[in-house]
Amino acid sequence: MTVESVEVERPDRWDHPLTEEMTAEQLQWLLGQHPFAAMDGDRFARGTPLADILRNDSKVHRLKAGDVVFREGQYGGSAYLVLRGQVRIFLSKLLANGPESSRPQTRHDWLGWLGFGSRQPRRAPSSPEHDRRRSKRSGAQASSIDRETPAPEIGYRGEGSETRIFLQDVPGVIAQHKTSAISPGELFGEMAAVTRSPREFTAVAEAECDVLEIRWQGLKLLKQDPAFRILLDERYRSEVLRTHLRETQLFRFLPEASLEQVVAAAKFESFGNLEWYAEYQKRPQASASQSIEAEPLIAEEGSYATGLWIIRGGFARLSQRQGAGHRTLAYLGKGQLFGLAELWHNSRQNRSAPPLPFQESLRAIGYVDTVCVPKQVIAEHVLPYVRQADLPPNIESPRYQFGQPVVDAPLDAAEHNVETGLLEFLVDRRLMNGRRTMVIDTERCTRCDDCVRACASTHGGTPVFVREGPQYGRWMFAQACMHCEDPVCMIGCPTGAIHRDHESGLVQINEQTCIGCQGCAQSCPYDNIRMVTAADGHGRAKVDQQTGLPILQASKCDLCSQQGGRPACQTACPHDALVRIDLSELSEVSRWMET
Amino acid sequence: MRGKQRRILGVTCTLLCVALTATGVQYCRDHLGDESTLTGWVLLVSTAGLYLLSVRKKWLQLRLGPVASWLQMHVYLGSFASVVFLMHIGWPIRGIFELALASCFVIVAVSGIALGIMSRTTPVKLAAIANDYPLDKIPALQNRVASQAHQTALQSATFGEGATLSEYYQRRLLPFFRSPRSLFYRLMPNGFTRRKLLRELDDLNRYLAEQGQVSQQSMAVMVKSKDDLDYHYALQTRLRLLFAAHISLTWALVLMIGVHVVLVYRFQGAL
Repeated sequence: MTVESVEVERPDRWDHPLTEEMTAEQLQWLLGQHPFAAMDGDRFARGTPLADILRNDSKVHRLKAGDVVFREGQYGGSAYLVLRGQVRIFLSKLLANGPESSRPQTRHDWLGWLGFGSRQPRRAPSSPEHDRRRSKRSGAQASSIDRETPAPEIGYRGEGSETRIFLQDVPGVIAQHKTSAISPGELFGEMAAVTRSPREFTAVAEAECDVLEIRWQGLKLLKQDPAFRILLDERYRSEVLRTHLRETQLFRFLPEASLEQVVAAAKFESFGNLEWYAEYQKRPQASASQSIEAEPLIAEEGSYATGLWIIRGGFARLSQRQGAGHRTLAYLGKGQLFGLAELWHNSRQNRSAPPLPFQESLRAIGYVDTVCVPKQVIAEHVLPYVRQADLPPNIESPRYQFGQPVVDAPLDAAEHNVETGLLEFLVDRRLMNGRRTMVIDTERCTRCDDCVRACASTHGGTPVFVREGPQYGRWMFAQACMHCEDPVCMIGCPTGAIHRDHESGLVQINEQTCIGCQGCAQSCPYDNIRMVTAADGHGRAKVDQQTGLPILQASKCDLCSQQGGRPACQTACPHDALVRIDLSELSEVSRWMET
Repeated sequence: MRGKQRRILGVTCTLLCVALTATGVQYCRDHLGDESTLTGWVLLVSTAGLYLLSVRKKWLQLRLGPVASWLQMHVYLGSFASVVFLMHIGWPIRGIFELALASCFVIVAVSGIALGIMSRTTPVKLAAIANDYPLDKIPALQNRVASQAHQTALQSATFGEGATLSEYYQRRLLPFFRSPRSLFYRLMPNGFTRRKLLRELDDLNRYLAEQGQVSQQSMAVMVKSKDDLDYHYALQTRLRLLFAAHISLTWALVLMIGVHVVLVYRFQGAL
């Protein structure tokens, strides 16, 4: 049997620029604007000169007053530079769950009960990620904002992919919200692009203005200019801290003055290696105890409780010493706190009483961004404004006191019912990074492969997952893209072909712009991305016209997002053995264990 | 809880449908109507409903709920159809064709019940093995284990203790590693051979020196691996074959039902 093939030119990183409309005059004008005018062209690599970066990786948007640049909670792979006019960023919540969330539900509850309702929303704006962020953040805060300020009236402008949401009464809305102005020459939105996390605010054009969108692959190349790199790093440190503290549940009732004190005292610290996946892939087969010991220690049990740690990004392991090893109690993700119980306990003690040290250890899993607020600031500026319901329970029987371990101290009862072995397994294999992990209950799975066939039929005959993978007891974590909390596969993509969907946050591959460089497949720590031969619309394999070698393309689970509803694999399972679950949320794992 | 509620709903609906059909039959009987026509059409419709599962599996892109829910409906509808079938057939069954049709229905129903039971019990048995083996990879894995065992046996022959292990391998283990398991094993996978071979290997210990014992232990591990692979293969193929038989017979049933309906109406003079 011969496979038909078609000869094509090998794709290149800039075959598909961000816009085809960039003219030579526009480019010349851009090169004369700040900060590009000050950039030294010699600093850029020969293959990626500044002019080419701007020509291919940027796009000028002409916005009218009220046009929304992006919304809070959306994912985005671009930063924006104001060229003319002014942009407002809304520091308080502006659009709750997206404008579409008010649309009536058409499915009846009883259909859902029978299992006929889709577990995933039909439209992305009311996506699980949005709900997740709401749950992680202060629900009360969001509701209080909703109560205080009426939802702004919005409209739609433009057509197709150029459709924009705009605010009807810009001055009125600005007056009702806490905002900050971005002037020409200033950059915004780069944090979400760099950290692969959701946007933390909504940005709106205050008046008619020009904004330059720079996709993050371009932003990365622009960092070849030292001044620009320093500017980005400084903004990362200052802006992120402020925004993040404002979003933390514990600080929601803090007066502005106290919050400023917290911001001034807080320290931004990172632990571990940003490129942890490279180390993880070639990790030696060390014992569990050794690998925990090797993790960067953020705070150690038994040591003096010096402050409150807030996880800003990544994951940290909460553990306690047990015997000769360490027992994992939980993993903490974005927005979760460490040390509050001890600080709360100590703040109520007599001054003469010895303070309680940390009762658990906190270690970086891979790479963790944290914020540490000193204990004095917490005691003076935070605890007086925290509601009783937000405070942790009392530490009745401490494991460490007077700087020593307490003999016969009881083991802490976990707040969740996830067995320790599974917790250790998820953390050791970094599976807690997965937000849509395919988990198969092998005690229900008949190995009929209906899931594989369903996947193949929805992806042109080739399944995009393998029904194999690490197993813990009855649970198999199959090799399907987990749509990670921190998708490290995106880091090295030169064209942005692998990206996060703006609304749902799902990691997608754009077949048009994938050049088959294999960067994503090599970066994925879980081997969930495969390189397959690219085919044209007629199913013919594409081969390089110069070398005759097949042209490869990255392929992975897209959660059947084109179809809407559940992924085909899950729909096809006749025995309900296959689920897609969010392992990054321990509460969801706990709920899943209960069922 | 959700599953339990679903089960209660399914069983209640099935029982209601059975009661409704029985009432209809009784009404026909009391009013000198043709109860066979009533039960025949109910059976025809419910049997046609059973094919909806296959349709759903083919058209996955339609947003009609998960296949698991359709399978549940298939099970309840199948139970209902079986009861109606008992109401429909006269006893004794006359005619070769009618007997063949009834037998086909019974075989499909029994294979369905067996599938229901086995799809619950087989996964638990498969999950009891430490590793999970996809069916299509098992032959390659069996070959690899067999080659490793062969190498181990050859190497052990060079050790000081002589050819004890390799002779045993030649006599007892080579057929085990290289031949497919018996039909009985494939139908009823069991651990008899595994235990016997492991015991025999253990008995060789007294004739082996240190290096030989190491070889003997690795051979025992390979026996376990091969048996695990055979066990997985047997259980998975058994389930798939039963499923294939169930599906094939349902299509035979469709043809026979069609002929049966035509014959009945021809006999009544309606066609």
